[in-house]
Amino acid sequence: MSDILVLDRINKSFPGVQALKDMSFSIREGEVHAICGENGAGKSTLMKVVSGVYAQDSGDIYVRGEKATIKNPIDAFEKGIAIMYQETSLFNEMTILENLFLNHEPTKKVLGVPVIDHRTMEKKVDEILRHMNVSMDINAKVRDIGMAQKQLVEIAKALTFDAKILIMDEPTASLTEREVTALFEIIRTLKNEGVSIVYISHRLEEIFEICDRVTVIRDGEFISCRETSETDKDRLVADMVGREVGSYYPKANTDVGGVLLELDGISQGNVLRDIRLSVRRGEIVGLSGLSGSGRTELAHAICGFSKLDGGEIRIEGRAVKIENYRKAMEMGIVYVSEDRAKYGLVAAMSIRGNISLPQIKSVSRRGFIDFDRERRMAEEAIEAFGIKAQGPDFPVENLSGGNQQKVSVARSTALRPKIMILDEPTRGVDVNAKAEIYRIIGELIKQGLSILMISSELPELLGMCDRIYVMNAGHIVSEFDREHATQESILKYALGEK
Amino acid sequence: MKPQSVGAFSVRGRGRLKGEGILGLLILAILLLLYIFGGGTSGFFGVQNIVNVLRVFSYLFIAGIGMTMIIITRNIDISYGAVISVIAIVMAAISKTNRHLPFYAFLPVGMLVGMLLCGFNAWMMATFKIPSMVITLATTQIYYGALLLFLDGSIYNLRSNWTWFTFKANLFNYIPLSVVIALALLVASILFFKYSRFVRRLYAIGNNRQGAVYAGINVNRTMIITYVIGGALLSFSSATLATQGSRVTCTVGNNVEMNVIAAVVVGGTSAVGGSGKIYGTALGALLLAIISPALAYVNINTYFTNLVTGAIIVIAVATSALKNVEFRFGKKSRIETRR
Repeated sequence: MSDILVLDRINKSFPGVQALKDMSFSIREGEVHAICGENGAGKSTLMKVVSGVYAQDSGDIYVRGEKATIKNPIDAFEKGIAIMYQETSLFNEMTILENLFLNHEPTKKVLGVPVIDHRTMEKKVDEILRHMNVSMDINAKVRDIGMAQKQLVEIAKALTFDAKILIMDEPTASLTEREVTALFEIIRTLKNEGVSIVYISHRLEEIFEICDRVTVIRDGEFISCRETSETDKDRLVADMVGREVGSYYPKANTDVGGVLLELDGISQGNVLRDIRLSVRRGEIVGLSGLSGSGRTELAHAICGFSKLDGGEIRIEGRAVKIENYRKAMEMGIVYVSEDRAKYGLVAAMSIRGNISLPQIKSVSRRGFIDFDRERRMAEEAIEAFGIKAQGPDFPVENLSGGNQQKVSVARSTALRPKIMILDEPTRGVDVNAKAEIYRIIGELIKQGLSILMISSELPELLGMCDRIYVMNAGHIVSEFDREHATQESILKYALGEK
Repeated sequence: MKPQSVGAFSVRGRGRLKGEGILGLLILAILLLLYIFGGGTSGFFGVQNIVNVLRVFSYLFIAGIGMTMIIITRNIDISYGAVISVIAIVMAAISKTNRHLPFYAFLPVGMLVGMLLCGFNAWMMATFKIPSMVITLATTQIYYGALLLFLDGSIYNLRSNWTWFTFKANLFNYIPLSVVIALALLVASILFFKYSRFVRRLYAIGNNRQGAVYAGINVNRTMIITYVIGGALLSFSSATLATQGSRVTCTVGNNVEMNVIAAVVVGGTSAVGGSGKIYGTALGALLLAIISPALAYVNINTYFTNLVTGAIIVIAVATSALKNVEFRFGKKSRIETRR
């Protein structure tokens, strides 16, 4: 079997991040080839380069041995490359048939005018569906069908291009077990027809079931490529983790006190199930898990952003009801969001305005803001947290990611909380800013604060936390001491392999 | 090997009346009431009144074709009234200085002006990433402002080559040319909506702009073409509106855009884009054209026109919102393979 698609040393960077570094990859005819890696390893970026959504900065793509320039999605389709996106790219108000042929409807000439040929379309779809061994009402609107059918429509769409290379980005993420079995059936059928499939997934189980080879990528770089028959899960996980724990984690040894926050059997639909967790005074507790495992949802539930179905939250031993975030703040809980732009800061406002926002009362006199007091407060924060800015009136949107994060944290500490929930505190910030954020976390702990830290970066959790909880599919699946936690063991639990 | 039917797809053929059907029945009901209480064929259904209603329908619908396409893509153009005014003034100015030119010589000029002005809106949107609402709000002022700058209020003493379009250009002595054009465009646009790739792209953009990019659609180019088509059609709306007398004022198209948008939205096109039908817009335009004279013929003070029009829009939009709520309950997830 020959290589049908070869990527040769692809580089792609976005402002501030090198998403792909000399990334190479190849797939043979009729092969199912998995790509796996941690969140943000560059899987989706790589596939968007192949499908023409992004242009690579350098590197070559070869299709059937010939060098190919793929500048836009149409180029990719013409080369026989089709992609099923994770966030589906379907059109809700249009019918399945209209979706399948969007922008490449077969046409016929009527009086010299090209018109859409509905009959050819229907005939072709019929053929494709028979091929896939499924049936569906092609005149139903996409908004009326479930997730599983949407995946099928995506596959059928790829086949309308006569795709020879089909890229599936997390196709099973929202499918039930039965639906996954049906999907694999289709994948096998396609494989026998000589279609090559790039299978991107977190689920190691599936990779070993359906794939011939597996390529691991990490931080945008190629790590390994092995036959699935000659490797095992432990090897893959080791490849995925790879990094060494750095030494820039200033974990202060503080005295851990009594239990401050306790969650007893918290549940919420099928997002959170029977969560039991505790945070003691002066403790840093980590919360690990893949994206979608329910970590952020848990934080939102604690802060009163969403309603609980059951369970009890206790603070210092007393059962409390937290209906909204204001209540949470009164109880001494503050939340620093992962999405600073959306939930955290008001981008167009100054540092001063952002810091005083949640405690506007304390800088106001008779309903009017006392600007001197507000400015003093902001200046103190800039000093204490080492925020690099010209002054308190500097707009937050012009700060770097790291400095924005410092403003977020500064604002939250000004409320004098007992416990701070940090959601991905170092996402999108550079190494230096990371080190500073870790230093700040260390300082906060010394002042007697407790921290619940959600992070996808295992080294950071291992370096900073006293204890680490691991979540998978809404459950807390494991709890580790600082001494016993390793990247491999945490990742295995997070992937649901234990 | 018989294919099994898939449960979740049973939403089709729900047996309820669609929005356009309700609208059609509403119009029929109004016409029936007018016939009974409005003095039969001598009142509302008098020939001259019907012709007037159809003329209003014509200019609303013709402008509504472009507006429907634009709203489907989740955009808007509120400069339509201003563009109609500019076209009318340009055509009238030519008519004034060239008294022997036949009217159909003006129309291509009007189309060109409409294409340029609306195309400019879309080009600004695409190039500077300005939301359509903002840019067309701005250009409305610019287009009106420019008119006032070049012209002192109105062009008058226009000759018969100008009013020809309203009074002489009739088919079989009665049917105005504008109505014939509107009906021809209705047929053409229904076919265009059903059979062209282009319109499919508009629905795609309105549903999921990022998805449209993934499907290889050049969104900017598509938007510019859409606005240009809409602008060209405005020439006919403008001619219908402005040729009813020997005088054309700068404000001839004032507020027309609001009625056009109302016709589109009442006709079932989703105000947030993604769905809509051209014959819905035709029904919406017909309803809006009827309201004002209908109120007059049943002796309701014409001051109520705006109130009633507004109420109808609210009802139409509210029922389409209800429709969306209902569909949210219909989601199931199941796949079956046949073997």
